[in-house]
Amino acid sequence: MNLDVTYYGKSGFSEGPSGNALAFQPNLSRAKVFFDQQLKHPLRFREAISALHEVVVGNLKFQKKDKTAYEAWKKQHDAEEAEVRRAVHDQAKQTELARLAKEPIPPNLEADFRRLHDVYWRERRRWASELSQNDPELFRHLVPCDPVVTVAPDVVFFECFAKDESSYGCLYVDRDAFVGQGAAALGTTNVDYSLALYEHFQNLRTYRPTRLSVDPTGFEVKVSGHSTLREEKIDLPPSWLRGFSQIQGAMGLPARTVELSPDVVYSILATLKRKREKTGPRSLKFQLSPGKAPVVVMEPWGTALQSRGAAYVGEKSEDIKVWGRRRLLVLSRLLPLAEKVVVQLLGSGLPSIWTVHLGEMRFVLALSGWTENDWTGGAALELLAGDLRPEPRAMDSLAKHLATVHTAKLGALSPIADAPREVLLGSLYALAKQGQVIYDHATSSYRWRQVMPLALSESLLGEEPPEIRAGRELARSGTVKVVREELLSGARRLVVAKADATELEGILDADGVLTKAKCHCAHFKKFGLRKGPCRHLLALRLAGRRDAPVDSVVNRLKEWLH
Amino acid sequence: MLDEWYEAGDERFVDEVLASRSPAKLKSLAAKWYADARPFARTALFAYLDHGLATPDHRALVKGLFKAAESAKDDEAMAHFLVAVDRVVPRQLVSFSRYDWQTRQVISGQALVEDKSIPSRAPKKKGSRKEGRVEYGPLASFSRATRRYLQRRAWRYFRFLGHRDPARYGKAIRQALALYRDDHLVKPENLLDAWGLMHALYWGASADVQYEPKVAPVLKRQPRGITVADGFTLKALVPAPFCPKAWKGQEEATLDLVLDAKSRTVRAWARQLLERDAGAYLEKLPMARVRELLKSAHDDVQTFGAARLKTVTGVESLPIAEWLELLALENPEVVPLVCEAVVKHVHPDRLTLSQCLELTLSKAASVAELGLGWAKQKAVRDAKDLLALAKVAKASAPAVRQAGVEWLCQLLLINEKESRPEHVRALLDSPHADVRVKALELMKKDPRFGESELLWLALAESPWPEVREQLVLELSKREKLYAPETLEAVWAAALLSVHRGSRAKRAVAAQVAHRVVTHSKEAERLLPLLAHLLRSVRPPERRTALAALARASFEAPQLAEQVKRLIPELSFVSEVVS
Repeated sequence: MNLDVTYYGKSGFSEGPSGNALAFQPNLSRAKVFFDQQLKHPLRFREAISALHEVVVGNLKFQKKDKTAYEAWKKQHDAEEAEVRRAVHDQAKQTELARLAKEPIPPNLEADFRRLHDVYWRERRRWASELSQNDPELFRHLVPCDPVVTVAPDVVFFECFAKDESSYGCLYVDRDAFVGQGAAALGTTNVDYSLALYEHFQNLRTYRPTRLSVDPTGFEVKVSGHSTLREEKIDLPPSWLRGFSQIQGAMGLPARTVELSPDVVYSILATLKRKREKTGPRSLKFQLSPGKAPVVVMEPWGTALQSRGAAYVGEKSEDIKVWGRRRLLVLSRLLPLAEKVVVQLLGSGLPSIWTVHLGEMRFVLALSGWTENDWTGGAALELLAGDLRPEPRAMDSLAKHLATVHTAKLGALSPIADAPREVLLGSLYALAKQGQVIYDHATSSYRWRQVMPLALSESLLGEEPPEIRAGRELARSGTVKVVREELLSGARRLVVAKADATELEGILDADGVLTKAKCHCAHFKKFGLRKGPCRHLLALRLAGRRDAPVDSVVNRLKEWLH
Repeated sequence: MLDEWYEAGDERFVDEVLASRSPAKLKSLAAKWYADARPFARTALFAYLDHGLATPDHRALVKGLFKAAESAKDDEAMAHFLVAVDRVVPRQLVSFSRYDWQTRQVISGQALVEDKSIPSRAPKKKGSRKEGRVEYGPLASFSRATRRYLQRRAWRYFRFLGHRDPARYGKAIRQALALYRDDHLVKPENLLDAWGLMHALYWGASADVQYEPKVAPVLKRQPRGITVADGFTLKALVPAPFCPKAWKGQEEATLDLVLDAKSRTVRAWARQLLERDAGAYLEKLPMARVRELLKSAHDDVQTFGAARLKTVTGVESLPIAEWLELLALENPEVVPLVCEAVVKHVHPDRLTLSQCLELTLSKAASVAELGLGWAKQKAVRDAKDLLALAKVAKASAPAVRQAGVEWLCQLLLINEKESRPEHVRALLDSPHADVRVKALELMKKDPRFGESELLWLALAESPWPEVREQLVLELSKREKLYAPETLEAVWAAALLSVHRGSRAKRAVAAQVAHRVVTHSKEAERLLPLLAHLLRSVRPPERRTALAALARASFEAPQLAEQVKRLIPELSFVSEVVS
């Protein structure tokens, strides 16, 4: 998807005789949004926005060793060999081209296009990663990292999505955090963002009164061809959009709420900073017992951290594991200011939402189930929302109402949708997935926020891979039967099962990841695990989730609905 | 919609034309469109031509427009046609190797091959042959033969013009040359495919042409396009334009071409022509023209302009604002040349201290050095000047920043009357660690700064860890300066620091314990800080917290209840024994 952005100059920190201003340049291609008020607690804002910056630039994906020099030598060596083969190849190519010219358009053209498109994006991301280290300015033009700012009647909030497509950060700043009256136009827009802006954030001090502004100047002087007017077209990769939409949807789904004291989060971060795990499991295990404060166990070391916050309110005891915990290090700057940390857990291996309360500000960090924005997370989320039914009519009326009132609680939205509760929630879930609505856990309300100028439809996100679709259907239909389960060394499990009359077996490691597998289907015979698991293995993993059986999640959803 | 938008003069008309696949409709449009005198119609016509002529089913429209423009002797429209047709016969440069059985060797080389997707000719119609006439089947777009014909015919218009009226030809061809864009000439083969462009620029570089002065015969003109002669490369091409008369004495117009051309190839050609044939003109180039070159958006033109700075006339009268604008250029080839000219022609007295300091912030080290050098020559009179000097702490060039801060520190130490703690605070707030270190050293060296409340308060707000650590180590002596909330924030930041500061944590724990004893009202807010440390996973931190709590409880027994309430997991040995 191509996103058009137009900025008037660059965002930055300006020092003037009447005080300083941290001015963000809004996207002039969108509706006019602006804001200008003085910060009451600049230091608190500085720490919070710096944490948001960490989310923007965060990339914890495995970084491969730089083998550029070796590759160059190898390329030269290969070129010499290729020279010998080229003559034969050219001839074969001409023959093939002549043959192809006579043939009709191949039926698998679409599939081939998608495959090559994936190759393109993989290479593009690799290149972007290299550029981020060697040429940050050029990198900025390639990677979508501009945050989105929303000016609402009660809050101003900044949102961003990490470049590794696995973390979402949002900083809510209540309007009470500003001094005096200021002009504002409500709405959502992108703001220009650069890596240098982080240095500007560090200039915030109490002895320098600072205004936070989403600068409206550009709207007044908008003239085509103006020297400071920058027009860019950002090509957003489908995986980025899909990841973003999944995380938005996840935030509105029912979840277990756990309150952690700051010392627990500190201990988690201090451990992660000082220790590097060599083997799995690499999870954070939340041990939840009704009426008791939660315990967080850091695996594989088994370090148990007892929270001193509020007791867990739930019906039964359970353990929930979340992975990709190193992404939590972005919270380190917020700990000294944190009043409490509230975690929303959707289930094992599913997204978790961490909210740090900082007085009149709140920092929300939503993490996908794994550091990789992987397929199972998306599929499992869909399963979780399986009983919710979106309806176009309800979606339309809810969208219109929220666009007018900007924020509303579920109770107030119920008469607007005029539909059963699962339709209401399903419609809100669908709107969230389309990037139109955001759920604010702290105020338990839905907010109108159009992340893009248009709704993120399935056509924009690209079609879901057929194996995932089919795997989800299999898991939902309940045709997966576990025949045998054996415990192996190193906390691994061998699972032998039958899915839709197809025999399969797989070895799951301590993190529940398929390390080895075998299936009798055509997809597996052709590709093995190279292109991800086949529909049967995927169904096995989704249905046989050890720590959070799908049934229990669906039941919990039903409980929550009634 | 086509007619509607055409009549209304709507901008979407061109897109609609390009989307149209109705040859009859398009054919009927040609005469009307060309004859339309409205500016909209003319702009739309050029936009359509700039899009290219390979759109399927547009042959009739293109032919109609071409013939109309040609018969009307419309130089401007023909210039657009020339650029458009130069892109319609793409060839591809491929490498080949073959075995020569006579020499028993593999011979490698490169050749230009035709684009197979373009049919060479329209297919002959079967069964409908009239007497003495061959009929051809329909083709969606032009065949390769027609494309070549269009190329030749477009160039023929300019060629004839050159023979008839060299002055008009010069004007018309310069107009056409300025229209070529870099994306038209991405690869070397694109240049060879541009029949009109190659003739206009390198007509004399062909062996079959008698050209004065003599140039290397790099090109071979053949019916199937231009190729490079054996033993030559494109690098050997030198300007040899068609109709040299049209270029003679046209230095101003050629320089305009350097400035206006959108293609690097054309700009490079025009520069070479000027350097070869108009050396005297270039030497006397006025500063106004050089400034135009330097302000160009193209690096190559800027470099060309910078090379003229050595001989330029009228440079002495250039206002200082203009010089500063030139120094702000980001072209690494140009900046040293501009700096050299600035040193030669600008006296430092013409710049204010503030302007010199602005120069020190330049990303180009040579400009920053120049700015600092000049700033040092200025008299620093008062506190305002010193505060302005603090700008050097933000310099991007490390060497300049280091030298500048060193100089500022000396001035702050010497000018006792004028220097203020605010000056040091500006250094403390710098984003560069080396500057902050200098500021902290300054605080140690001079008690005026070392004892300044303003600076100690500023240290508490710094986001930089090394500054905060410095504060923490001294905090026990200066507690009175701070509000309880500030102290709590500083201590919380030190105790909950994830990335560093284990030594500072020990000092802070002791400070908190002492504060709790001396200010029991603050215990409710401060004891949780020690509780965080006590619950840490790190044993040394737990030990530190335990020692601090034990000390506080021992020194102030009245705290025991509060400690018990806030840290329920902690029980004192004495209580257990009793």
